[in-house]
Amino acid sequence: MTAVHAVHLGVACAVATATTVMAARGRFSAAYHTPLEVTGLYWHFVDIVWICLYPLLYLGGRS
Amino acid sequence: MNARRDAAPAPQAPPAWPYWLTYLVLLVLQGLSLASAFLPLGPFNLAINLGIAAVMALLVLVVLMHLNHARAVTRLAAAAGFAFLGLMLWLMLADYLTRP
Repeated sequence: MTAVHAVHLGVACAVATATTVMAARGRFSAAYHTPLEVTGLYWHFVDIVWICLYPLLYLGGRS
Repeated sequence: MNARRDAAPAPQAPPAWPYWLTYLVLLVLQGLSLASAFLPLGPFNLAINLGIAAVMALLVLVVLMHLNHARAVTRLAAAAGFAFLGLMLWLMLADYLTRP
């Protein structure tokens, strides 16, 4: 599960880097910023997966 | 995702403080989750941690994924996905937790 999550995270980092470069080149505006929204949605999807995996993988058996 | 409808009004940039507040709350909940894992509560440790995780996931969905100002159809689609995820997790656990 951690490996699959790592793949997701790698893809998310690549996409975030690409949109950062596009934003730096002035490709987005108030009228057109759908790639930024979609990148944010994907990033937060990966985030939610980790929020669920963290207590299951790391917090068990500590008490 | 309707480009024409998204492009029609020039949208104002939303204020940033709700995102910072959500970030802070998420960090506090994460700390609570980690701290509670060291309390000797038996099976309730997992229940508490999964409950905190559910609250954190809802915060991310509602604030960070913009469901708090999404259209009703978008909210319904997201809620359906969340409900079916819960259904599948429930059925999976019903198998695992009842094995002898």
